[in-house]
Amino acid sequence: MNTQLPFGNFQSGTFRSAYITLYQKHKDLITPTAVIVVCILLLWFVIVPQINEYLNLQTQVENTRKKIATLRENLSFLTALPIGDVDEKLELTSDALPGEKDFQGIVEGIAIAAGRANVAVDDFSLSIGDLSATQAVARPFIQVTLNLRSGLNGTERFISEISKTFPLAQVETAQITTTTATVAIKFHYKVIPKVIFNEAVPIPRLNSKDLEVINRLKVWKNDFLNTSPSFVAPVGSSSSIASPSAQQ
Amino acid sequence: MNEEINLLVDRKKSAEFGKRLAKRLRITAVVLLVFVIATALVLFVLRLQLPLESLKKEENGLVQQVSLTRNKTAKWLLLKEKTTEIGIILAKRPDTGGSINIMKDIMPASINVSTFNINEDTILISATSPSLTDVDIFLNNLIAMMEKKLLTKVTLNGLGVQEQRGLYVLSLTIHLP
Repeated sequence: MNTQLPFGNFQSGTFRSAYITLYQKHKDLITPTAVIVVCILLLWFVIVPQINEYLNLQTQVENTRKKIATLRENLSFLTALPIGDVDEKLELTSDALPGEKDFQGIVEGIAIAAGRANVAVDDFSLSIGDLSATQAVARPFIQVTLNLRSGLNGTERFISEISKTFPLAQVETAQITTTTATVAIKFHYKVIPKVIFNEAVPIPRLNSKDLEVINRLKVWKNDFLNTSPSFVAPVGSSSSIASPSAQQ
Repeated sequence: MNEEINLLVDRKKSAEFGKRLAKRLRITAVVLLVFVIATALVLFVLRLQLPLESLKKEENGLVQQVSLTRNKTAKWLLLKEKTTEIGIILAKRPDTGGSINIMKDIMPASINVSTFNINEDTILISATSPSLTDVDIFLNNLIAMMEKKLLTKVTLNGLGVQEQRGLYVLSLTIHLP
């Protein structure tokens, strides 16, 4: 390759001697300049990325330490948790808020409440809405509309008994005359959700409101059991509070 | 001798400048070189000291231990979810039975309820009574409840007389808080 450069071709002796002369003359300047340039390049392309990587690693170490602290806390909490107590509370809450539609429990519970309130129940209807949509509803429920052969006093007793049998039952409307009443009641249930547990997230504790709810449910259950001595949980019913000692 | 024609002086000055520049460049080059090498060494040592590997091992060990308690964990999380849900339902639930009870309590015995319609927001009452005094007592009790903010509004839709039966007929709309 013939490259045209100042002082002639590369191959020529003139070129070489000219550049060598230049280098010899200015080598005190060229060498340190070259070192400075190389150092700057090293700083920019090697040292700075290394510093960034080190800072990232430090952040990772910090995050890992926090995760470990959370994991230790979760493990210690779960190890100390008495499973019997958890099972008992879970049963209590599942009785109050069944994990599925409990038609049998509802029908039997209505019969119990009517018997205890000394009120006759005529035909009633249950409505559940769009079956495909119930999973997506935040608080699904079964609505029951029933007709009572009773006036204001009897209806009030019936509503009181229903709330003892189903702590979460919600009386939506009541239309009461001197001899009859139409009552619409919502019975809540909650499909068991998919439990996704991230070990690195602190396990939620039961706060004071949750404990208050559990205590209320215990009181309700005790009252129900105490006033219904022949209580027997029916087979297949997910709601033992609503179970009958079938009063006619 | 005339210094203006002394060419050696200029040459001397430029040579001295060149030497000074070269000296400064050398010093800068050495300082930079030392800095780069020192920084690289310090970074290397610091990276060696980071305990990331051992922390990761510890984390994995703990994750395995926690996963052994997954049944208990699932039950606990379910309990927490149900309890929270029940709390929300109880907080939002209207106390229909309680409202009926209160109305009965403030209603004198002679008042006979013909119709009593209750929903989340309102109570519609149609009643009769042989005594206008008792009707007045009932209305005053409702006003007192309004003043205590236990009711938001009471509307007397109608007050009439059935002369043949000797009864006063009352129709009310009560707005609940």
